[in-house]
Order: sequence, then structure tokens, then C-alpha cells
Amino acid sequence: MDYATVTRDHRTFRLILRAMSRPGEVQRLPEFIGDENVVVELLRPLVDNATTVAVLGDSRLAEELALGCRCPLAAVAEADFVVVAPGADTTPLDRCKRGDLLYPDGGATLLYLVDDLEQDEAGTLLSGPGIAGAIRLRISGLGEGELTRLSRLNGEFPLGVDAMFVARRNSAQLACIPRSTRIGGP
Amino acid sequence: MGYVAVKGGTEAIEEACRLFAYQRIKGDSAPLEVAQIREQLYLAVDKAMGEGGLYAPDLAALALKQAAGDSLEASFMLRAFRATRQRLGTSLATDTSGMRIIRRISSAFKDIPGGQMLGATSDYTLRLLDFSLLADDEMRREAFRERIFRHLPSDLDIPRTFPKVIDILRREGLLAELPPRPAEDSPIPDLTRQPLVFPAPRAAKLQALARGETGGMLTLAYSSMRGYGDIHPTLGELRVGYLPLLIRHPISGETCRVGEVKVTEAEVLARMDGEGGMPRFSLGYGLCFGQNEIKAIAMAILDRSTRAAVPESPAENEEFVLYHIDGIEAMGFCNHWKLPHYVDFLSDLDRLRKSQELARNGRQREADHEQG
Amino acid sequence: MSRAEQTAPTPEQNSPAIDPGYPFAFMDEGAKREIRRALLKAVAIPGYQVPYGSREMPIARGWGTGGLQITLALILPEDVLKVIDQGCDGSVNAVNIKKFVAKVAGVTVTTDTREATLIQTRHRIPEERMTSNQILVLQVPYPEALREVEPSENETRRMHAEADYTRMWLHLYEDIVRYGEITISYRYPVTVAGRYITDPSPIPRWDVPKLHMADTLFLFGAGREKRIYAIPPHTEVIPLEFEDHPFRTEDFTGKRCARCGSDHSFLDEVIDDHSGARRYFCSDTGYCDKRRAGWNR
Repeated sequence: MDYATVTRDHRTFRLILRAMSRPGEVQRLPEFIGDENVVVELLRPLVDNATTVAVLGDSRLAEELALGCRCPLAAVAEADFVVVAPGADTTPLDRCKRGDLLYPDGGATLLYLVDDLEQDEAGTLLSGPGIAGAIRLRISGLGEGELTRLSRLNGEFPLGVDAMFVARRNSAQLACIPRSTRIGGP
Repeated sequence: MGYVAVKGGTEAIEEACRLFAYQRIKGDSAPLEVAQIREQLYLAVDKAMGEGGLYAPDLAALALKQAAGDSLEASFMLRAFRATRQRLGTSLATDTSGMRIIRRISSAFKDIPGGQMLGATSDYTLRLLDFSLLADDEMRREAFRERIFRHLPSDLDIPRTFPKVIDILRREGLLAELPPRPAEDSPIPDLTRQPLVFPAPRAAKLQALARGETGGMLTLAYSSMRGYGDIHPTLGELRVGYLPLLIRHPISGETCRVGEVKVTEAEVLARMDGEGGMPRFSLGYGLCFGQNEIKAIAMAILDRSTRAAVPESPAENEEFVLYHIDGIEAMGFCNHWKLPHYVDFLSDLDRLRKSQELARNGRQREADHEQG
Repeated sequence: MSRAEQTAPTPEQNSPAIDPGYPFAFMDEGAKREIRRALLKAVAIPGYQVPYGSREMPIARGWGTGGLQITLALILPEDVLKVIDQGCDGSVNAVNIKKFVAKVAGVTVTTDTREATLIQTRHRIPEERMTSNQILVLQVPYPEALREVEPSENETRRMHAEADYTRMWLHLYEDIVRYGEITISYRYPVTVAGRYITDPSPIPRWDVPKLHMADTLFLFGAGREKRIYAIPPHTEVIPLEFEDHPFRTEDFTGKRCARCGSDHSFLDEVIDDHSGARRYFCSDTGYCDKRRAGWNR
């Protein structure tokens, strides 16, 4: 990989790390992450032939990812990363890996493609590690009941999944809800 | 003023590095060539390659030169170098019965199919200092070569491969059955990329042992054979030789041979297992880069000893063995105590003074109480 | 990769150019990815130790390879790097690590905590409060806080899985019975986010409160033991204590730094060469220098 790609991956990862350690905080992704390749660009610092990826609801994206990141594709129940395209049937997510008590880090990382991310009063209340008090995150374009599903998947901490949300309206944005985050009111 | 306030760290470090490099060249002797180390100190090279986990005789020789002969430092350099190399592919599993053998012995039988082949070994030499080596000139070497090769028959018929001793036992049903052969493309855990978790898969365990430090492994294996454990091994077969390195061609998919690596392989037969009511031998396996027979045998013993159902001695405890045989990790940690620890120590002092104060006050109170 | 491509995009004043013999940030991309995945899981499960492959670095195991691998996996060319050992920027090991990272990532280096975007440290947390735009990477020799009471990794992992910490509490209680108080000096165990008992690395007790509800992300790397863990910002970090035997930091009452006069920083004790008298200096040398420079301005 050339210097430019390597340092781009470093930059992208730094933002992902920031988003994951400050749940609900919306990060603006660098301009080099355009519309077309947002998923490949986001995942390239993280995945390769050592990780498996599943894509729900977009077979072309699955092919692009397998090619762009050299990662083998897998069923949702086995995948380390699960990408959820807009409008996908998300019921298979109930089967995704949540780790076990000895190794909870075996839980999957989810990447939802959504329309827009905003921190505003109409958003869902989030609290927990990484959040000063509480924060409200509004996720437009996320299937109804998806946050409830996340809550359910993460109901037995430390087991669970860690979710990333990427929005492509205007510039690309990123926000995360790791399993340690409490979703919804007090 | 003391150590803390001194700030010339950078300069002092650089000078210390320079002084270290200077030590090697300050004498009058001719500079050591890497080829000399590779050819004449080949056992040291083999050991460094094994413990460094990188088969590269020239680089190992270079590392030994740079480390002034310190084998731990040399294998450490090889590992650090290895960590920066991209992985181009994965070699195919190789059946060691196809080894091009330079030495093979069995202590289980007086004679074995294909015969005992002693090869190059120091086993039967008298450990007397050979003062004639003080004058190791070309004339002496030439005379020696002449003596060796003069009577060598020209039509030696050496078989390319030899049957394996343990196969004889296995055919007779005396040895525990082989586990089913894994599918051709089934992934093998890679210890250099995945951490060891317990219980360790056998492949991970053997990798850890293959990269282990000879001295550490010898100590643990010795404890087991001496009495802390009950592995009474018989050396089924010990082989030294060259194994072909096979890869799948990235385009044609054909199997191709891209080179060969020198390895030592030890198969140790130990204590009978009563599984399924049928007593059998079980096999301990050792394989490492280069010619390092002590390590291969120690590895085979530890492979076997760590399979104890209920560990009763250190050498039988898989976690204990695998966590403590890595020379690079052990030497790094041992050396790190030379780093300043004054913050920790001050914290310790603070606690100690406080505890002493509490103890003194307590004693005083007792004394007061007695007097009162 | 051509030489031209390797030139860092932003020119740095006090850092050497990237060594053309190495890729940016030294490690191969596969190694970085594995560390990054471990980091994300570590952040998502605060205080939990994520196992990872841990590659060999050109510095020895036990000398900060865990911290170094984290630093290299996330460093940016525009980062301003500070490395300290026992609080000191000029310490042997800190200098070595800083030189190496500057060489392979072409970053600017500093001794000023406020100026740094990324700080790698061994055994101290800087005195100046760090911000949300900074990351502190801590080098860890023993990632397992329970190792004192249980040598087996299998067993400590089970204890963490079941949140079975009774033996740890018993250990502290026995300490109190024997010595009248908890005698743990540095590496003081903490509970992170109400779940995992975690080793904060061998920082003095003085630094432990800085981890609680901080603005900064703390990343912990144990290279030899192959573990990565994290304490996210705004996370509850509570040292283990009993109501009648509360956690206490080191006591510097009545002492001040002989160099800058600070009476509110962690002090190193130095025995004077001649008189044998004890003197005290700030352990955070960057902070001490800054205070002294402030007088001269």
C-alpha cells in the first residue's frame, strides 16, 4: 500500500476510535471518503483476510468489499463485521456474534448505512462510558425497531455488538453506539 | 544533583550504543565475515533461526555478529525483522517422511529399516579442548579434507527417503491413532498473529514450542524426565535433514517447491494411555529449524507432558510451559528491570513508611497500655 | 513506494524525515488492523483485556512494545508526540521510543503536555489535565490486576467472566488485618464502569483519580502479555477500597519541588550526593520545566 493510502487509513481509524470512545458524538469524516466508496474506505483500516464480513441487503456492496478489503464474506452468524445497507431485512442480526463471557470481544461490529446523523433534542437519549452525562443522537433512515434490537442484543453486558452508523447525506458522518451504551431514557 | 534532574539522556544513550559497537572492533583481529559465522558457527545460526522463528541463515549470522554472539539478542533481531515483512503466502503442509536426511537415529530399536545414520554429531566426541585448532590454517584443513574424502566410495547408494520408525509401531496398533488429517485448506492458527488462548490448539502449542528458547525448554523437560512428572521417554526417532518448502502457485495453482529448510525432528514415545481400554504408546512431537537436537527432544517431551489430564507438575501445566519458554519475551522482561522504577519505588516507600508508622504507633499503644 | 510518496504531507520542524527503509509507522498493515480491532473492542468493553497477536518490535519485550504498537497503529503524520518514562521526557527509554516513532512516522515531538496530541507513557499520567483532543497510551507490564491473587490466566479469565472478585477483596482485607491498611503502592486496582477490575498500569496512586471521569481516552498496551484494554473518557474509575479504609494517594504534605517550588505535583525523592539529605523534584519534568520557564518570562 502506498503512503497516501496508509495515512488515509490512519486518519479514518482515528475518527472511528474517537466515535467509538465517545458514543453518540457525530464525527465528520474526511473529504477523501466520498459517496461511492464510503464502506470500503471506512472498513479498510480494520478488515482484511483475517476477518469475515457479511453484508445485508446489497450484494454489489458485498462484492466491492471482498475485493477492496480482501476480506472473506460470511453468514451473519459467523461474521466479525456486518454491514447493513439501507432497507435491508435486519432480522438475521438477531443471530450475530455477541462473544462469550470469557471472550466478549468476539462480538461482532455492525456498520449501518443511514441517511443522516444529528445531535439534537429529538434524538434518542444515550448514556454510559464515553458520554459526559447524556447525549441525544438522531439517526435518520434507520429501520424502525433497530435501536430496540441493539438494546436487546446488548442486554447482557459484556456480551453484545458494537454499532457504527455512517450517513452519506452532505458530507460523510460517523457515530457509534458500543455495547456499553445505554439506549433510551433513564 | 541526582539522577532525576539529569537531562542528557539522549546523548548518553547514543554514546552507549556507539561504545557497544566499538567493543566488537577494538581488538586487532580481522573482522568476522558473515559467511564465516554462517559456515563455522552454524549451530549458533541454527539456534537463532529457531528461536527467532525466521529461516534465514545469512540474516541470523549477521544478527549474531551484530549481537556480539549473544544468541538471545540475535534471535530477537530476527523476530523484529520478521515482524516487518509482508506475508506473501502460506507454505503447504509437508510430510516429514519425505525429508532429505543427514542424520537419523532411533533408540527404540537396535536396528531400524533404512539403518541408523549417525551423520554429523558431537555426541561421541571426547570433550577435550583441541589445541590443534589454535592453528586452523588452510594447510591443516586441506589435509583433513583429503583424509575424509580419499577412501569414500564413488558409487554410494543412499536412499532419498527413509521409512519412519513410528509408522512400524502404528501399523501394529501400538501407538495411539493419528487424529483425522485436517482438510487441505483448513486454516491453521498463526501464533505470530493470534494470541495464545487456553486450552491451546495443538498447532498453536507446537508453534510456541518451536519458537521457544532452548535453555528454558531444556529446564522444563529435564524437570519432567528427572522426577517432577512422569514422562519416561524413548526416542522413537530423531532426524536432521532438509524439508522441501512447498507452496501453491498463485496463478496456476500447481504445487511448487521453492526451496528447502534444515530442521530437526524428534518423535518421543511415552507412557501408555489406557484410552478405550487398550493400552498404547502416545507420541510427543518436536520440530525446529536447523540442527538443534536438544530443543527438538525437549519440545517432544513438553508436547507430551502438557497433555496430562490433571497437571501435577510445572512441565505438565500447558499454560505454565507455554507462557515461560519464549526467550525473547523472558529476556525482554528480565532486562526491563534495568529501566528506572523510581516512581513506583517512591510509592512503595510511602506505603512502607506509613505501615511502619502504624506498626510503631500500635506498639506504643500496647506499651502504654501495659504501663497504665 | 517511491521516495517522493514517502514525504510526509505536512513539513515538520524538529523531526527527521521518514526513514525510506520502513513503511509509514513501521508495522505492516495487517498488524495495525488487528491492533485497531482490538482497540475498538477494548473501548466498547471498558476495562476488559482484549487478547491480540502482538508483533515483535525493535525494542525489547517489557520496554513498552505494547504501548508502542498502539501508538503506531493510530498515529497521524500531523500528530505532536510526547513520550515519558516515570514522568520524564529525557529518560533513557522515553528518548529511544520517541526517536523511533519520529523516524518511522515523521511526527513532531514535544515535551509540553498541552501541545501534544498523543502521549505515550510509562508509569505516570502528566500533571496537567489532558483534554478531549488528546490520547494517552500507557505501557503495561502486567495487564492482569488479579495476578497477585491468582497466577493462572485460565482462572483469572474465569474470575473476570463471572465477575467473581471475592479473592481480590479478601486479599485487601487480609492486608488491612496485617498492616492496618491496604499496602498496595502502585498498580492500584480499580473498577472500571462498574464491571471489570482493571490494572491501571504501574502509575502511582497519585495518578489513579485522573482516570476517573476524564476528558481523555486512555489506551493500555501490554506487548509481552499480548493484551490491549481501554478506559474511555467520562468513565467511572473507582479504586478498590473499604468504607473505613479509603483509598489514599501518596502523601507529600509539607514537601515541595526543589526546582520549581510546586507543592501540588508528584515528587521524586532524591538523596543528595554530599549531605545525604532528602530532596524532592517534580516527577513530571515537562511540567517542572514549564513552571521554571514561566518565572523567567
